[in-house]
Amino acid sequence: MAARDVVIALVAAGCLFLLDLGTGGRNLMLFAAAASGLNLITGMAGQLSLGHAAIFGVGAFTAGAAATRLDLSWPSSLILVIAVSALAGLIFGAPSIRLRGQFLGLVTIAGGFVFVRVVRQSDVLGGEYGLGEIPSFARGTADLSAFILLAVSTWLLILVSRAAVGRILAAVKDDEEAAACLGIDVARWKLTAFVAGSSLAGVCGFLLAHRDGFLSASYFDLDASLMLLMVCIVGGLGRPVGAIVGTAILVAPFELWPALERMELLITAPVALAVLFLMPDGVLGAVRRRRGLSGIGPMPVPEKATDLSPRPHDAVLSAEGICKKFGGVTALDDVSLLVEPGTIHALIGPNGSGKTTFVDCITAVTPRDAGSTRLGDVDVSGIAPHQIARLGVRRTFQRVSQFPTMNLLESAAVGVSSSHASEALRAIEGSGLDIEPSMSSSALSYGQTKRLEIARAIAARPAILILDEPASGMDATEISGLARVLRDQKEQGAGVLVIDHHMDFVFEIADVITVLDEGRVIARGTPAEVRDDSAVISAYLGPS
Amino acid sequence: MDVAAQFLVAGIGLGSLYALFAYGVSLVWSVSRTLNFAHGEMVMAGVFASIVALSLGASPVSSILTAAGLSAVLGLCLYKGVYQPLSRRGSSPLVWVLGIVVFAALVRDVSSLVFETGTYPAPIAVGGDGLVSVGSVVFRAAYVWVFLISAGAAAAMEWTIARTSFGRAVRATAASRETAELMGIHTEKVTALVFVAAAVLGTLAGILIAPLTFVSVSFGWVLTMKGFTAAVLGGLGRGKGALVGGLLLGVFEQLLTLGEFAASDGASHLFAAGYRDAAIFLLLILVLVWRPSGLVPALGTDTRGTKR
Repeated sequence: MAARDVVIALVAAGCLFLLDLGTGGRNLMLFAAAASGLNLITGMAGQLSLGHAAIFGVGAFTAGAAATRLDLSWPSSLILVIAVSALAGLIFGAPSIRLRGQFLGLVTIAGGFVFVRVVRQSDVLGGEYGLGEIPSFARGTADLSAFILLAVSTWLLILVSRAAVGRILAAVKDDEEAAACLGIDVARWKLTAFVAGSSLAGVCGFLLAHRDGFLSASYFDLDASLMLLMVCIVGGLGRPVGAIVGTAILVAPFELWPALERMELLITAPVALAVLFLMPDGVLGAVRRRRGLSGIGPMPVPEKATDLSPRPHDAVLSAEGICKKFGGVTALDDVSLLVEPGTIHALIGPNGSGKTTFVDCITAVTPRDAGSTRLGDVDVSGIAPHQIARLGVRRTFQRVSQFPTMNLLESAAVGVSSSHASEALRAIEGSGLDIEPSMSSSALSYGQTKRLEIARAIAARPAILILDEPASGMDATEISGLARVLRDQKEQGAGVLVIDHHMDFVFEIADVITVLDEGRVIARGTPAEVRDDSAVISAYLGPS
Repeated sequence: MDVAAQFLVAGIGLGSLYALFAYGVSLVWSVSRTLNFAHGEMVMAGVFASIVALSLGASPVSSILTAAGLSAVLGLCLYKGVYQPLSRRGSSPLVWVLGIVVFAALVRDVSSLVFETGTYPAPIAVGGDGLVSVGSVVFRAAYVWVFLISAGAAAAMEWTIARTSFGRAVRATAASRETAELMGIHTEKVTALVFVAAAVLGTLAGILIAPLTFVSVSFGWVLTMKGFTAAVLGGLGRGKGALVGGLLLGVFEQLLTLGEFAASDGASHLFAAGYRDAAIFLLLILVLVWRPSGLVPALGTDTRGTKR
């Protein structure tokens, strides 16, 4: 496997090297390597950047200024370039903590504009006329370094795509909230992707500066950012070799045949648009699909599922006096609840009674107004969702929170701290999913998706398992399978909190039932006690 | 003081045009939850259409109609050809936003293939070079004309949204697409018409702004960004907010220009020419990150789906 990755990276980079020999203008290898950085940020981690060329430019102009104004030798200049472009990536990526999707795109466009305007105004960076007289490397040295950079970065991307990191980034891309509840520090990984992708682009800028000897701000404007993005779209967003394939298709022809140059403007955007329509995951994605491959990277399916490792601890989850208001509406009013190890606790109540809000509050997905949560002796009130998940509290969501870009096995393995796929496989089997683990998780039925989510939650061997309406959309057979899974968890010592509307299911499996109505606890007890409670009957059927 | 008053007039004149760009961006956002990154490109194409029409001997009025027609067609293409098919697939918003961005690149690429780079004279100089003096303050009459026309256009749009059945359908679609559909509103048609209306409104503003700034194939992106900035200042999705945001942006921009003006005879080069746009885009970033609901408080019943 490992040797194959190196060969793929060398061959892909080598093809561009050969194409480059026939061209004189833009360096295809540097362009592809910079686009690979964008592919890490936008393709793998899902953070839309429309200003990546500016980061490329930050590296280039830093190198140019270091050589012409500071007289730095190239090694110290390279270190400076990496530091500055990593910092620029951090600044570009920081808004991603608060903003998503198109708003992040808007902010990065604005950031790119600011970069270009500042360079144009700055005498140190050459202003309107560009920065010239940068000492050039010999053509051979420049090309060889570009080749090494491209091959190494492509190889690293291949490694990332098949390692746990690749699944983490894909989870952040597909569903941030679900990712956080699987123990992933979403903000940190977004910033990591931005910093890594930007450092790569910065080094490309360094080589570009010393290859061409001249820099102009217009190389790094919005058009260039869009071109980098279109290259990734065409090759395959999130595919490690996507940027190389995209460059070969979208850029190389115009460099090889100068006669086509004027047609470039007429061809590139329509090709990118056509790819978006016909091959949503790019040329490489379409090839993979044709070969029947699914998921983000080749993750070997273990021959047999191993038994899961022991649980970290048997801890009681206790929530005290949770209150939550949305505007003037009181969603939760002083709700307390205890989930003990080796028991199944059901939380029921009419629609809108605050069940999901309660779970959101204790898992820190929604900030609470008052109240505290403890796990054993540890106060977990003020900590982030991913930290709660890491302490052994795992939850599913009422909505479907699948990771469509992954296959079954990858999806179940997202929250597993070790890289052993066998635990995930065991969880898939344990959840009663009798499906080929390498199948795409987007091809599952609704009930199967629900079970995949449960498999993902139990793969990490949680001390506390919280399920929000697991039985919705399941048929009778599936529900009895679900009951078996929950009983298994209980017997193995987990504390289970389950929200559901299927009363037969709830009364059959629960040891304790808490009933919520309009944000308040109106009853609590064994199934028999709750069934006969007059307050519960009137909450469900109306006052008699 | 007179100088400051002159800049204020210019700020309000330009700001009223930013308000129209922002109004279109905001309206499209409210019915489709999409930032139209191609807004300014459609305006640019419309303005160039009027330049071509005039050079072929068309009257000013028919050149404006040509511009409006072309941008309407582009708005419809963007909706029917990109937004609708890509968003219908139920894929992540990222995909159709990528589609819109690529569409914007396409419009600009084709335009720069047809037209030379560099600046072009404005197709129609509204208000000409005439000057108006109020007391000791002298300013271009164009600003007054521009303000009056765009105020009229904004009032017409607000009236349409508030009073007509189409406007009601727009508001219903903005509030909840699903509920609107259940109530028998053809939300796809409404959204298509909003894309077209925003493009035409933007093109009108583009023709008005041409004599006040410059025209080039690359000026579309700047207009897109100014429209976004004004819309975000006013709170995205709120029509009246967009109008106020436009005026705020216009005045803010002229304040920066005033700073440059003052700096030009002093030693400071802090506000040298090109930093003005950089400052505006920094403002956009800061507002988006810290006050994504905008700086302008909600006005009256002006709720047009501010939720993300």
